[in-house]
Amino acid sequence: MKCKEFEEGIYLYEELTGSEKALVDNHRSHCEACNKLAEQVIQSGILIKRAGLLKTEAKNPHQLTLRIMNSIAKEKEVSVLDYLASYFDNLFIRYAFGMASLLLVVFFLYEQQSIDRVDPITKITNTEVKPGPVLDMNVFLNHYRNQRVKKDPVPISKYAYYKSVRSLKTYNQ
Amino acid sequence: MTAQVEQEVIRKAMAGNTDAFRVIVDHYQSFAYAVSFRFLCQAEEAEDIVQEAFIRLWKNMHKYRPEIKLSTWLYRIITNLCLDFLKSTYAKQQKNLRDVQTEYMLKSNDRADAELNAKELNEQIQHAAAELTPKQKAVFILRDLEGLPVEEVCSILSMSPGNVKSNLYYARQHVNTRLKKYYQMDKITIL
Repeated sequence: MKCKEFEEGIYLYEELTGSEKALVDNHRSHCEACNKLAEQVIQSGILIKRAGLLKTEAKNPHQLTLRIMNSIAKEKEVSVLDYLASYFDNLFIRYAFGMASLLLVVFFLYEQQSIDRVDPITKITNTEVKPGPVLDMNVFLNHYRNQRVKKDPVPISKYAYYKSVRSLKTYNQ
Repeated sequence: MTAQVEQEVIRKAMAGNTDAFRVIVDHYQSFAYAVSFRFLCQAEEAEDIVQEAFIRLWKNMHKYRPEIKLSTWLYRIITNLCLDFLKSTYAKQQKNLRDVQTEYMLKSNDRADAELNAKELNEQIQHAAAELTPKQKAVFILRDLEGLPVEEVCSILSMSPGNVKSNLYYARQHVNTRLKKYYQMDKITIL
């Protein structure tokens, strides 16, 4: 095997299995370049681990905790809408609503299609009048028309009579 | 905090007890900050990520399963938040990095013989890690700096072991080259 094939094994030595480690060790024992690289990797590995021990801390941990707790207190005041919306987190409910909307759209389109398909003229001629209550306005109005005919004329008032007589006299004069 | 006390506190927090959650925040805050700072190298951004991580933890507390360690869960939340942040700023970061690199190199050459102290080393490693892709960086931080086992890294990042190892290989190769470039490996004395 070539050195290039062992390079990955050298960098990932800690992650190798026992047999894989033995293969790399065996190669290192008779390859100067790979041995040097492995030593470098081990050294930088130690440096990285040492750097890993250094933990950075927040400037003001107490202030940060307060900030976190304040934002959580705000989060706790969840609105009713958010509470209801939380039910839609469920995938089943989401898909069910999605399916229902899709069905409604399909149904609406189907209905629209069936209305458009009927010719308006044939629709009118072919329309059968089904027995049922029919509102005929004449039945309603004839009663009042008859009453109006039978009714005696309203007698002329005295004032109107005298007015007409006087105006007739004035005209004659 | 013992495991039993922690479970009790978690149980109360799951029931919506903010005092119990405060105990969790106090306990895990420094750890959360350290991890997010390793990713972002900016104090303010790291604090924002920690805050967001704990809010997410609070919101999803009812989904907690005792078979998963709370620290692993928190690692996952922080890593995801940091990765999102890094992905959004990766191109910009790379541009800024090129300007900072020259500055670093000049300083390093001046202090070639200076004693390597832990803080300086940490800065160098952080700088080398900043040049990695977000995934490589995440794997490197979790495996090498945080010292987590490969299985836990896989679980946190939702990656296969092969993928983790591949990213780790490129990350280690890059960091090794960087360290070799700045410090003469032969002259390093491990304190």
